[in-house]
Amino acid sequence: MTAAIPKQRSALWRRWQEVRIIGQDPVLAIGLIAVSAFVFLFVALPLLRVIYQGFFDPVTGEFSLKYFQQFVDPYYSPHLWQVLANTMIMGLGAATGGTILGFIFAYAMVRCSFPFERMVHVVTLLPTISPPFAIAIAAILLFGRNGLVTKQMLGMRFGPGSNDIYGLDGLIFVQIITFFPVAYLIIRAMLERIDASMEEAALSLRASKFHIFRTITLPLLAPGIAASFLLLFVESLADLGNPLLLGGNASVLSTEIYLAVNGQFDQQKGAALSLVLLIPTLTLFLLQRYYLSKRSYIAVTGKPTTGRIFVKEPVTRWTFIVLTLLTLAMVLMLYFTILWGSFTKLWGINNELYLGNYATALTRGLNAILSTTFLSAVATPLAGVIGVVIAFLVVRRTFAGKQTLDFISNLGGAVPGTILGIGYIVAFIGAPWYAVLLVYALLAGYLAARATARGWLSLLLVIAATVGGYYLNWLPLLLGLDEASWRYLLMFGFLLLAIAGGAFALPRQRRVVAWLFVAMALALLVYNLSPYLTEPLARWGRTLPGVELPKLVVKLSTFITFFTQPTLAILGYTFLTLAIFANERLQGFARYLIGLAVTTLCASLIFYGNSLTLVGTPYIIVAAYAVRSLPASVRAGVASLQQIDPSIEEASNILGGDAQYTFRNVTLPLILPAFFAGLVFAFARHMTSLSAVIFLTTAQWPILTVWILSEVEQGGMSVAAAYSVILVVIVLAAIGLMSLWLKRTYGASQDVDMTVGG
Amino acid sequence: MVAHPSSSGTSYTALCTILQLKGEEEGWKFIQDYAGQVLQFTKSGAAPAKFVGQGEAAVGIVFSHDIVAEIEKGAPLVLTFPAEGTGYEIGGMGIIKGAKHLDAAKKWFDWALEPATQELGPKYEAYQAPTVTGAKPSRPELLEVNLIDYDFSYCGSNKSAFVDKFTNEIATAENLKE
Repeated sequence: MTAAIPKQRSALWRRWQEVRIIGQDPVLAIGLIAVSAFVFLFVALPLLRVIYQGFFDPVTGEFSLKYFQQFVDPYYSPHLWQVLANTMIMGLGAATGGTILGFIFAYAMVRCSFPFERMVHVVTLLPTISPPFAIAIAAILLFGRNGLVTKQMLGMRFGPGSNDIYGLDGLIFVQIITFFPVAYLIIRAMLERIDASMEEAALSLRASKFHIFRTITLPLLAPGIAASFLLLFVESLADLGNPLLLGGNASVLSTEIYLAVNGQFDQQKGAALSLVLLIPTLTLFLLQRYYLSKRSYIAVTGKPTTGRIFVKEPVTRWTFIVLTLLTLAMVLMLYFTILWGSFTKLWGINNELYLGNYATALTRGLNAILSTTFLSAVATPLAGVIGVVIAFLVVRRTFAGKQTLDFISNLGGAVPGTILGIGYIVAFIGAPWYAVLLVYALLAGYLAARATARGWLSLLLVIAATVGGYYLNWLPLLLGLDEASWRYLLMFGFLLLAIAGGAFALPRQRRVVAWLFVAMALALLVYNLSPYLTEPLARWGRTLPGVELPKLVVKLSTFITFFTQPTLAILGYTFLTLAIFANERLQGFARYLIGLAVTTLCASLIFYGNSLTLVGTPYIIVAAYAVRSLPASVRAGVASLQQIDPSIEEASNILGGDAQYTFRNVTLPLILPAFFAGLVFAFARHMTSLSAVIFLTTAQWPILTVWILSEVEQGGMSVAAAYSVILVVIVLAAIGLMSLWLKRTYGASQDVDMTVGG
Repeated sequence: MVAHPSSSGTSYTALCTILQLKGEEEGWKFIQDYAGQVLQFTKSGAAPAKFVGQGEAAVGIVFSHDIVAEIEKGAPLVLTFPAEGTGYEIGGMGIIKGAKHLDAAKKWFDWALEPATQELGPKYEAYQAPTVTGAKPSRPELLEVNLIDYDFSYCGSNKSAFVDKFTNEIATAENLKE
């Protein structure tokens, strides 16, 4: 007897089975659809649109290589190649200097028994919590043409042509100071993991110290050094704040892009230059991700290394320690200068203690401070949840496209923010219908597939609902209804569904189903009614005495509107997602009919006008923030999930817990502390980001970092310093509150580790 | 110190004034010569007034009302106009086609064009001359200058060409500081 040979299945079939397995768990499937939709809409789509925009004239829509041809046109090319050369010199200079400094710090800390370890830790945190150009402001105050050191102490005078802080050299200096902590963290982590036994073996074979360093330590460190070099190079190229402030007459790509979009209002030029900037950053990102990470010779076994080696020669040891201390002193001095500068009346002319800058900052910039904090805070849980879902899918599940999901989620934080910002403008000035449709089709398709087992019936549902929803939008036009009445109409639709859903739900699920539909109806009611609260509130706020109080109350009313009147497509997508949960709890053919009805209503919301026009709304800023901090959230999630042995989850499964139960009661409690700690980092990243949101900020939603920049550009150094101090204080307060809360909830062992984001 | 015309309307107005006064050929030569003396082309048009006020530069080319604003704040500045004549601009407003709140926009326009509104300027450190009849200028002495017959359509239609020429020929010149 021969055993039956199992039928050979194609790879495609296996992929399909993987997706189906995920599809059987609605929570997991919706998680996958939601995060895929998010990274598609806010990372992939904008980047693709930028690339496309570079080749097409925005007015005529014709294909043109206008701005690429300028690179070979003898009239334009000298300037453009100069910009390109500046960009490369800046990147190389900052990456080289930053890596060397980072190495010195790491070596001093790990090998030289450094006396002030805690201080170094604090210094590495400073850049993550301060605005991206804080160092530039301090450098201008200290070393500028009217700087404390240069003019007051050394009496230097600067005429045209003399070398001052403005220009490439000053820019590179500031970038080195700004970025070296990143290199320090990477190299330090590597240095700590080197197995001491190898160097001890070499030592017992009587190799000289330098020989050991050259032939053992350095080669083992090489991947870390290379990784930090590449990372710093990319960070430097992506930096917008420092080049704008300190570039002087030397222009780099990121500033040229910014000026093309915000000065000349030429989106094609901005997009074309973005493409030029995208090529080196993307190449290095890929190199780092797929090549260098595999070249690491240091095994991560989880076992502690066998003791640490310390440098004992006083000359080497003290050289490293003194260099580190000097740099530390410099960094602390720069930060102290910001603090000092924020308390002086007119820097360099009238240095007496003065609190007016804070008064000015609070009256003029209160809106910016409130808006930035609010939007950053809203984006924080969003980034955290998406990050955990992606991390969970990547670590614990196998499916086609897993690598792509991981890659794209990382890409959003790796590309220069200016490019992402332009992409957001181009993509969401009037959202492309295919993007709106694609996300809708994913959600509706899944709902339909769960509603009936027959494929053709599912297809029929999606098509009928889409067409129905589309024509439902003609109704207000035919009946002469305004937008609000149309929403009341939809609201009654959802109420009817609540009754029907309650009637046909599975036993004991009636209440849940009814409440889900009632919640949707209520959301529409609140949408319609919220102006009756927010408008009087704003009007009353304006009558209040003083300057701050009215602004505070008016801002509060816009915060309420933020939640009650979201963009219609966002509302529609949320409803459709909730409808999937409701539909799971229905029985028999009601699943199909109610599914059809609810999809029709949601389609009506999603296809109403230009429903995904996000430019000018605060939601796009929230999305930009979340995308920027997403890689760190994913990495933190992956790290904490990898520490949990899958067998704990398997045990829960064997004992009868389903995937949802296991995640809620086993996985989640284990990763929660790390998750909350990661949130603080995300918040800090949001508060300090500039380049991605500089094109997206509006008069109603001003962003603090953008305000600091324009304040500096207009010469208001002291006020800019005051804003910077306020920003740092807000972030520090968030860190303090979070670690206090973590300690009380999870015990003293938990601390907020700001270095996770690296 | 003066702003870069690609990012600042102030600086572009100055550039176009010179080209109209001296003619294009002569004008560009003049700009070439004077660019060598510029410490830095800033991004914001009003920035040079601040920088000069703080002692970072000696001379700044800025709209006169921005200089008045700095002087009012106590900066040690002296305001002068070129004897050959000076260009000017009129602040513009526009409503976007298909605007969502058209009524509100119209109300804003009506309000902004009232003489009383235009006299509010000095309260907010804005010293521009009013544009409607009936409004009293806050600084009448700023209007007693030799204005040239500024050709807006000439400057408008040539803007990208002039800015390109400035960027590629003047701002990359050898005599500039890196």
